[in-house]
Formats: sequence, C-alpha cells, structure tokens
Amino acid sequence: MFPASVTAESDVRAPSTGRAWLAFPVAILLLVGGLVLSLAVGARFIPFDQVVLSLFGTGDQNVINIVGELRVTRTVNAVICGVALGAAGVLMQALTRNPIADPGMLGVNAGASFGVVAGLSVFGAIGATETIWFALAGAAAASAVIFWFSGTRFAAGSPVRLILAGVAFSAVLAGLSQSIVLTDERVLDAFRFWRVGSLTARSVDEALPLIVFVVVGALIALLLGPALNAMALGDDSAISLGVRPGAVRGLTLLSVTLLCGTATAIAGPISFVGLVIPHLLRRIVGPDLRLVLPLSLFAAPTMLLVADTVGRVIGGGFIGDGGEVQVGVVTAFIGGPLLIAYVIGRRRERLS
Amino acid sequence: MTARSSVLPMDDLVLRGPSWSLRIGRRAALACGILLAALVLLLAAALMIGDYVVTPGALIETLLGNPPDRLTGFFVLGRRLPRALVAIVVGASLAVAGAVFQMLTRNPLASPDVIGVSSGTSVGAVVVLLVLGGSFDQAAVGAVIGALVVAGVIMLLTARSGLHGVQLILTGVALSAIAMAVVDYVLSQVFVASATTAQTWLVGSLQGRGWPDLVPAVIALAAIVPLLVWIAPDARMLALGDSVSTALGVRTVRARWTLLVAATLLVAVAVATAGPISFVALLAPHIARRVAGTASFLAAALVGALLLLASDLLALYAFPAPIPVGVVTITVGGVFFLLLLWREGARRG
Repeated sequence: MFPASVTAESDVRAPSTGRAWLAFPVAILLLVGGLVLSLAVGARFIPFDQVVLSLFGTGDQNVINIVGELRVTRTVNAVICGVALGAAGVLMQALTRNPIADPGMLGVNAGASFGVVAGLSVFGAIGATETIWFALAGAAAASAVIFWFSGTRFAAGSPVRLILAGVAFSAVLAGLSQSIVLTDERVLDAFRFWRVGSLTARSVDEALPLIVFVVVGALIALLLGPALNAMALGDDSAISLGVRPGAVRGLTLLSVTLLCGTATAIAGPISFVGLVIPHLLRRIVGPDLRLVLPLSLFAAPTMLLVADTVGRVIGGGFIGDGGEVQVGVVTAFIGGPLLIAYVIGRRRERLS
Repeated sequence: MTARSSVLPMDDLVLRGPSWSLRIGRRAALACGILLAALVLLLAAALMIGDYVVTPGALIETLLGNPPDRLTGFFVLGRRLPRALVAIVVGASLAVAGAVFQMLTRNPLASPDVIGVSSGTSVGAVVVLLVLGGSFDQAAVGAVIGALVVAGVIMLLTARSGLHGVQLILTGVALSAIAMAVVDYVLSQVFVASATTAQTWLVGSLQGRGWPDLVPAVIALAAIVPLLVWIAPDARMLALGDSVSTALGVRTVRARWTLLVAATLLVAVAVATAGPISFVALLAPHIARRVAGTASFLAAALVGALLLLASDLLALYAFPAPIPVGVVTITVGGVFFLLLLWREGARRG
C-alpha cells in the first residue's frame, strides 16, 4: 500500500523520525498524567492513593462518590471526545490540505446539532441512542458539503475561503436550527438540555456504547494515514502512486462523520481541539500522518482532560457559585489565541 | 477641466462650490430614488398588515393625526410604526457600518459580524446584563465598550500587516470564537430565566421595540452621521490606495481612524437597540453596489433598511409563530455569503 518513493523521502528526515519515537512515550506519559489530574483535582483535591482505592470500591465513601460518579464520568467522556476530535482534526486538515481546518469551525458540529433538532421536531422527544443517529446523519451531511466545497476550484488552495465558507455554513445551519427551536416549544425543551454540552452531560452508561463508533472511526483514520500522505502530493501524484483518491475521500468522510458525530452527541460542540493538536504534533514530528494520526489519539484527550481540569479549578471564582468553566470555553481560550498567533505570523500570500 | 468631465458619464450632474464639488451620478440617484420608493411602500405595508388589518384609507387618516378609531391608532402609532422605524434605523446603521468596514479593509467579505465586532458587543451586553446586574440601557453602554475593545484589539494585532488582507478576517474569526465562548460561559452560570432573556437578545430581535428604543438610537445617529458625511469624501479617496490618497491631500491615518470609530459606533448603536442581527452589514453594501453601480453610503443605508424591514415582516408573519428577525437574516444572509464566496472564488479562478 505504501509507496516506496514517499518512504524514501520521509527517511531523509532522520532527526524528526528520531524525535517521533521519543514522542510516543512522552505522549502516553502526558495522557496518564492528564488522567490522574482529572481524577484527583477539582473543587476538592484528593490524594492519588485514595483515588486508586476508590476506583476499586474501597476507602472513604465520600471519595468514592466524588471520584466514582462525577470525575470518572467526565474523564471517560473527555477521553472519548478527545480521541474523536483530535483524529477528526488531523483528517480534515490533511484532506482539505488546509492548515487551519477544524471540524468545529467548518460546521460539522453545527450539522450534528441540526440533525438532532430536525429529529426532535419530526419525531418529538427522542432518547440518547436515537440522538446519536440523528447527530451522525447531520455530521455526515455537513462534512460531505465541506469536503465537496474544499475540492472545488473555488476553495482549493485557499485556506481562508474554506474557513469563511465554514463560518457561513455554520451560521446557516444555526439559523435553521434556531427557527425550528424557537417555533416549537416541545423541541426547545428537549434541545435545551442536549445543547448545554459539557463533559457531564452523558453518564458513563450512555457514553460507553458510543465508543464503538469512535474506535471504528479511529481505526479507519489510522489505516488511511499512508494514503493521505500520498494525497498530500496532489491527486495526480497519488493516483500514480497507486492510491485511489475517490476511495480515500469517501473513507475519510466516513471516519470524520463517525468521530465528530459521536463527540458532538456526547459533549455538544467543542471547537479548537481539532485545530490545535495537529499543529502542535506537526511541529514536533513533522508532517508524516503515520506519526501524527496515532499521536493525536494520545495528545487530544490529554488536552481535553487538562482543559476540563483547568475549567473545574478556576470555575466558580468569577460569577455564580460552585460553577465551572465548561471545557469548550477553555479550549476556545487556548485555541483562539494560538490561531491568531499563527495567522499573524504567517505571510499574507500563504493564506489567501 | 474639460479632460476631467469627459471622463464622467454625460448625464452626471456636478455641483460646484468655492472649495467643494459634488458629482451626482445619474444611475446612483435613480437607484436611490427607487430604493426610497420601495422603502416607503414596504413601510406602508408593515403598518397595514398583521392580525389587525388597517385599510389604506384608515392608515392615511391615522398618519395625518386623526385615527378613525382608538384601536387603529394604537396599532399603527403605538406598535407598528416605532417597530418599523427601529428596523429601518438599525438596518441602515448596520449597512453603513458594513460598507465602511469593507471599504477600509478593501475586502468584500469583511463585515462587523465576520470580524468579531458584533461578538464583542454581545460580550459587553451580556456581562453588564447578567454579571453586573445592569438594565437594558446600561447593557447598551456595555455593547459599545465591547465593540470598541474588539475593534481596538484587531487594530493592534493586524497593525503591522495593514488593515487589509486575510489576517484581519481570520483574526476576527478567532476573536469571535473566544468572545462567543465568554458569552456561553456567562449564560451557563446564571438562572435559566435570565439566560433565556439574554438568549433571545443574542439572536437579535425587534420584538417589543418601541419609541423608547428609537429615541436613543436616533440621538446617537445624529452625532455619528455628520461625522460620516464629513469624512466621506476622504473615504472615497482612501479607496484609491494610501499613496494616491496621500498625494491627493487626504490625511489617511486620521481618515482611517475616524471611519473605524464611526463604523464601530454604528454597530454598537444597532446592536444595543436590537441585538446582534447577523449578515445585514455584510449583504447590504453588496446589493447596494449592484443596484447603484457605485459604492454609496446612502444606497447601502437604504438597502439595509429595506432588508431588515422585509426580514422582520417575514419573521413576523411567514411562520406559525413569530420568530426573532435575527434567525431570518442569519439563514438568508449565510446562504448569500456562501454565494458571494463562490463568485469571488470563480473570479480568482
């Protein structure tokens, strides 16, 4: 499957490959650190030994309650959503050949929301399992539109036009959702709870079955790595290297849909994870997707876990009482400035 | 002088004073006339239709000061007229602000909502309303401050690359995302009832807008519009590029800052009155350029007023229940924006 010439090329960058193998243990260590942080830190700090004890059902009953019910939920959700959003971000940036693509900004999450609203309005109140199907359908439609647009000559090679199209597309979808929500009180009532969107919205029992979607999506993503590497050279070169661009696009679309649809169904719209992680990883290990994709599966959940923990710790301090800063807000505050820094640091010609 | 006038279309009327001259383009004048007529017609329609239908005769009598019955007077003068006037004022303000931003940045896709100024107003208003516990009037002040802060940050960040260029837009998109994250956070921290009120405001709605909302907006406009009229000739020169306009005697830095402040204030006034209504600022200048054949603030203002008034009528009567006008403009405007991108891309190839 993997073309020899590209292998030869990536072998030239010996230093980055050397760093890459170091990157894996570091990423795994960081993820473990993130998991520990997420379980131990919060409104109340719990020593690590007690955390471990409580996970096995022994120790202080209060600790079991806090860790077992609240923190395990958000930790599990953060890992699922992180894996999904990180891999989806890498795939989107690779396939659209756009360094600033992000599923959240391009409207995939808005598509999932619209799917849920449409489902609610047609079928009335629906359960958690039905919600996921509507979210997936909406995400599929939205990512199909975005990929189609990125492939036309109107957006090809123009990051900014694709982003603007995504912004407008999200706006249209949000407008359509709003017009349904605001005219149908039944839908408003159900949608209100769905779109609050934080890592505590779904219990572990509800979220665990959805892991299947994420695993399938992530596996497809990992298998696509070499083919997408070849596609980075352009469709013609990819074809001559034995890759079928149509099939790769279709599979990428499927994978992004599974990943983003599930993440949105679990946690609501979370932006910027899919933008920041691929950038960070490319800077460390270079553009080879065979390294970036698997690393994103560790790095993105770490970012989400840390963001969630930060939101928990600084929450309550600003307004209200005992509140927390939702993880999506924290990621926006991390990702927004990074995007600005990237844009400002770039020469104009490279973006337009 | 002969050489110059031969460049102009034959029928253009040129008024000359001791130190000024004003060219009135035939097509632009015609277009503005037609737009004005359309606006008056639409205004009449807005006053007549609804659950309580007013006949044309009764409408004229009411407007002349002697309504045929109390109910007609109440609906026309107390409800529909102020709401329609608010729509006109807000639409026109947004449109002119959009025209200024597009001209300043020389980018047809720039508009206060795309580059984040509108999100800044949302943050300001929501913080004042929900965190500081202020009234809706104080929220307007917060909106103005929010708009100025975002505009200032964008200016600072993109000062080196000049205001034009995609950096401005992408910076705005990122700032907008941050601002909306703040809004979401604040909304999630307060009681449901106040969050719902704020949510409706955030979509942009003319529901229940009346004379008390109109008066402060008109007062603010009375201060901003003369400023714009004064700077408009410089603005037209500015469009030729910095070096050319400097050579023609325009103080480019002063002109640019004046325009930026004026446009930001216009957005703030509009948002403080009706909430952040999306895409009117983006759309109106484009349509106006199409219709009038030239970039004219007056034509843009008329188109903006028409757009918002028409959208409000749609929002009121085209759905089973009235919806906020912002929902209509965001949907219609978003589609238009995509078409615009498409055409822009097609031109560049």
